[in-house]
Amino acid sequence: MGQNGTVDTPATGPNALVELDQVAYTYRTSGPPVPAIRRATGAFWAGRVYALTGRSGSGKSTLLTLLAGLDLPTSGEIRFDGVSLSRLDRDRYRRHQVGLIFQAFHLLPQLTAAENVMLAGEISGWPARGRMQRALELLERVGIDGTTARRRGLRLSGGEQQRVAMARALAPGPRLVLADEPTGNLDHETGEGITRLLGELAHRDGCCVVIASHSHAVASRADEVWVMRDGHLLPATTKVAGPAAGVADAANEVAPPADE
Amino acid sequence: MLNILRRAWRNLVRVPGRTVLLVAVLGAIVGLAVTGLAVGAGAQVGLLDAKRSLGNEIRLTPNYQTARRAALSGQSLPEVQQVPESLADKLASSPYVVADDRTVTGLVTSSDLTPVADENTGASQGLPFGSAFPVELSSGFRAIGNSSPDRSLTSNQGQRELLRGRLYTADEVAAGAAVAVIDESLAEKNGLDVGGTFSLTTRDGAQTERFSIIGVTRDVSPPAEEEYSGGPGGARGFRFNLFGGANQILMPYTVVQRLNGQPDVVSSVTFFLDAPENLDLFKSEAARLGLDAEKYMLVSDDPRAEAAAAPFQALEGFARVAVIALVLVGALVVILLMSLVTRERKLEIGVLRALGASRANIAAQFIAETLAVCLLALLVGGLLGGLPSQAVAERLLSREMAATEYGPWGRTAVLPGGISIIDTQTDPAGEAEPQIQVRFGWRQVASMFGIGLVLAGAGSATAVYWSMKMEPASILTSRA
Repeated sequence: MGQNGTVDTPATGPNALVELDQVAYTYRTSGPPVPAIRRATGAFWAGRVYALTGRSGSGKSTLLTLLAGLDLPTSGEIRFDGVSLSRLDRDRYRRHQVGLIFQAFHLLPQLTAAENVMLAGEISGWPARGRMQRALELLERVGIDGTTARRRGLRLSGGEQQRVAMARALAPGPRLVLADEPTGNLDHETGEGITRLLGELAHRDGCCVVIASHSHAVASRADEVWVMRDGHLLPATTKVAGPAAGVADAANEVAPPADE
Repeated sequence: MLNILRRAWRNLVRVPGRTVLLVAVLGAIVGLAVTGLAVGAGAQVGLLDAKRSLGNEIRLTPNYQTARRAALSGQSLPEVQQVPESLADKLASSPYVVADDRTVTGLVTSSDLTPVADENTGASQGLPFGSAFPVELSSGFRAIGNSSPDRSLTSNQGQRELLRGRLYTADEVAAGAAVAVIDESLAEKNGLDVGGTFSLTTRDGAQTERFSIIGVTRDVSPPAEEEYSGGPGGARGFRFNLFGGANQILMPYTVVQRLNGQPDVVSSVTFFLDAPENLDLFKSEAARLGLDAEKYMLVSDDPRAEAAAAPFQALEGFARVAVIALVLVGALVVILLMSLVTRERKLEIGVLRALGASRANIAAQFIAETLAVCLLALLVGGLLGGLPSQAVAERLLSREMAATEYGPWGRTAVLPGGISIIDTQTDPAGEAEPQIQVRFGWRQVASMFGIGLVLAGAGSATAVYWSMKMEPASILTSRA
């Protein structure tokens, strides 16, 4: 849904921030290879929120790791700004273009909330001077006050930890934010807050936000919903096109999760 | 780089349990190694002192111990091999040798020279091999020749001084000139002096030569009981005096070789080394050059000093082995610990990778952390390891002393190269225990840092290996 609640035009065309072209990924195991993604094709635009839904094991998290450049597709291509990730310095890509948010938050427990954010800032090249101030500003933006910012990660509530993780993801000033079940460990109200913040990132800051989630609430707030089914990436809904042939079935896979 | 160091430091400080565990384990290893280094250095000093007391002379002689063992086991006495000059030449070419003196002795008789009678009364008292030498020869003279003329007064049976005349020269040695230096009592008994002549006949009576007297000497040796060698017949140095000093006739060694009919062999060779501490190196080189330990042996002049050196030598070897073992065990422990620690930190590695840190960047952070831990361990180990080292050294030295055997022939110390030193005169109850003073100088400090580097290298390599091996996608999506 658009910022003003109006129906948006589906994003297509040559100017997508991220494009998937026949992307496939197969896990190599000691047994037979396990295909996780099969010939997924799609595009993600800046300024929009994408919900990536599907059953557990359908390949959502795998697709996010590929989008983050943590791994490369077995075949096919992912392009960022028109350049294949396989040709990019992917460490640099993550350092400056990507913000990652995880279901389990993954804050470093030995660091305070502010230090967790500063760590991302250090890696992305923040100058040493004013680093703490910048971290506090980011934390404040996601609703973490100065006192909480000085507490270590494990002493924070789940909602606080996820907000800190979100601030950490924002540290490099990313154009692409990837969130893997960001509300999975949170209660409904806290999850709503996180989802709202993610929406702000897209609609106010112009980021492209891709959220892998089971949550119907997340899907309902997204500009577009894509469904992963048996490794296939299917467009579930768009606000203009509406359910198309075959799409309605996929949309049904946005199963009402337990937290709703 | 500063960011990496900052991250490393923050991790060390913020996870004190892990840091303290690593520093404690590595510090204990380093501490033990430091103790070993200090003990080893103390033993080295003790060994060096003992070696210095030996002087820088070492003698090559036939292996009388083989003969002694054969005699003790009831076997027939093997023929004692004289030392070939070719072997002496080979050993003299060692870079540690600055000079050598070759000695040849022979038994001769004389038709116009009367021996000093009372010198012969105790002729057989010191025979180490019982009646191994023929008693009838005790009525003769002993011809002693040296290749270095100035050594002839000091190297054979105590000490002599020249009363009249001169010693033979190097030219006379080379030419084999029939010149002789005799004892004053022998000269008086036979009414001879410098310028006089006498003839000597070989043992088999086949050859007689006439000698000119060029010098007269006097025995100025200390009384037998004060002389360390045990005096005539003493059981340690084999410098038994069959005929007494008065019946010894000094002459060029080439002449004695001629009288013996064996021009290419000598009784013994004394090598003068460049430094006392090179004794062992020279022994090793001699073995490398083909010295047959069954036939010949290299002995220092002072067996008691060698016996005193033996515990230090054993202690130094023990300390060296202990330090090497500690370094190896320490490296294994570090590898194990760092494997556990790094694998436990896989989430951190995954997060850092997700944030865009390169593998090299993460590896550098782990190396910095390992180096810092090792540096702390060096400080702790260095401080703690030095404290007990003196007590440990004294205890180990006592143990080495206690381990020294007292057999029927006295204290036996086995030196490198299989040379046994048998000390018959030292009373074990009354002997003063050797002292050791541990040292920790620059060399030991350098060794300690070397050990630290080995441990740090092993730890860093392990940390880097595991951090490189981990796949962030697997870690972060819990597929590890």
